[in-house]
Amino acid sequence: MILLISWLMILWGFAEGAYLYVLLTDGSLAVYERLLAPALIAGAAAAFLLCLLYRRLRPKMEQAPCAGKLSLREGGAYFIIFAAAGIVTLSHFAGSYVVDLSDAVYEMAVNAASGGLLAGQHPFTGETAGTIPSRIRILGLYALYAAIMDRTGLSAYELMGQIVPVLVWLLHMGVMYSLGRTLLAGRERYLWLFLSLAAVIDLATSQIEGMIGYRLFYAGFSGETIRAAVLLPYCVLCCCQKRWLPALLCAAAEAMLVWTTYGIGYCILVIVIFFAVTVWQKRRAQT
Amino acid sequence: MSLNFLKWMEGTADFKQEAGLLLLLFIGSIILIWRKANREGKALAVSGAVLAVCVFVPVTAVFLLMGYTGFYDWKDLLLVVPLTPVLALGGCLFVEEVSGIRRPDAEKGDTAIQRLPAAAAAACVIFLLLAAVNFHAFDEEEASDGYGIPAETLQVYESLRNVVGEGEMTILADGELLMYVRLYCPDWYPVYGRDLWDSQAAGYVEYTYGEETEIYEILSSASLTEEDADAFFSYVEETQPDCVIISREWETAPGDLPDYNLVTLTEQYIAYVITTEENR
Repeated sequence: MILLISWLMILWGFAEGAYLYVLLTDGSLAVYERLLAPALIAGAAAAFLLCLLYRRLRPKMEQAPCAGKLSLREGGAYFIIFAAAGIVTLSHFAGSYVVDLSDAVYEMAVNAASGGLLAGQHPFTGETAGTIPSRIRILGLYALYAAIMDRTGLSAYELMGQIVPVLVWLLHMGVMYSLGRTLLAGRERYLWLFLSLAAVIDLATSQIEGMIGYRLFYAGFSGETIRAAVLLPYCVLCCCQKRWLPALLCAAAEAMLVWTTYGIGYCILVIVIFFAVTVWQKRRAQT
Repeated sequence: MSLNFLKWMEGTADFKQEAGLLLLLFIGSIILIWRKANREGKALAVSGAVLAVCVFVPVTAVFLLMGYTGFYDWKDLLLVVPLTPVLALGGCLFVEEVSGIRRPDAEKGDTAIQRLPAAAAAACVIFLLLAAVNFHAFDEEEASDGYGIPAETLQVYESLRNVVGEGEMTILADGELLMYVRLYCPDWYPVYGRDLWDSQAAGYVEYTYGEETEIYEILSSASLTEEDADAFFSYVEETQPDCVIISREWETAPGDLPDYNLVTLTEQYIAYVITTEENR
């Protein structure tokens, strides 16, 4: 899971690079689409090389203990809860629901796909490009959605209301599984319980605005949700396992996804706090 | 700064009302994890507690809110607290504690140990299946397929589109309708921006609005006083929008005015096309 998400983050970095290049030149969606495939191939190659390099360095570092893999024999009853929660979650996305549009990504993607121009209209007023604040213009997630919609013919709701939220939920559960393995080392029988509780908590908080469950269920496409559901738990996982490099990668991906604290974002806050706690734990163990 | 403090006050009050139990569960989980979990779990508990303190204590919360643009409110800060992993780990440790599976005197085949998780699992499955059946009842509004916007909003827009045809159009409507107009009709222009609605919702003003703020408040209100009606209709006269959508609950509707051509009535809204010579 760590490898997969690291790959995705590097790919995202290259896609964002292509977006910024197009934005600074002519701002056309067609040019971005042409650049996207080579950028992703280059990103995949870079990710492969970085992972090879990281694996060579990694054995020298301290490894966190990990629980075994999921087993139906141990905690099989909890698998039923997880499966039921998964069915309820997926049935929500299969139906029709009102998307939370408080994040402008959805509108910007629709505008870009229909107008063929990146950041062509201010999402709030419909005015032309110059009026969009640069902090919104530089975030390229909407352009990726617009390019996919344009290429595949998917509607905005199919892509951003159904496909992307399901992928985000699956990644969220994947990160939770890896986190569970780290946190429950020596308690393998509780892995299914951990996963099922995570799925049920998301479900139970889906009607409370501001909670992660709500964001996953009603705004799964937005950068904020991706950060809260995937990047932050992943950052916590990396910090728990003392993998500081992927955690920093996470902070870089966040800066390109959501504009918070002038681009510094919350992953840095999580890394700093975890690092301080780890140092404190080490000193405490020594004394 | 004072605005962020206001956001913190309103946000925490709402959160305690809506999800106060979650906060108690979170604190309980932190304590349990600190006592029972491994080193990594303890690191998560301490970091989670620090992050929660940062979000719930006014000084740090106000500082963190300064990094956001004004469209966000305090609830968005909550996403930084690792609530799901902490609660899930706390739940696992609680089940372990209650079932006594790690007690030194517990045997592997102890039926009492196995009964509790099985009963909990059965209860959760029943709850989830019931939730699945009623899941759409939780949703406040029915969405229209293909757009993810409320069916009623779509109905209003389609009726207007049928009357005025394709092309650019200016529209005067309340904030929620404007949130969707950019999505469904990118060539329709609001008389004022959606940011006015956001500024009202979040108590934040990025652009300076004057008369529009008053008109927004009138449009969002459930009833219309005589004074409000005068202000509203003179604003329409002045700005000459192509369409006006108002609340159905208004007692004074411009039904008798010659310039207002009624297009549709829905459960919540009344939509008009303005037919003055200047804009037709």
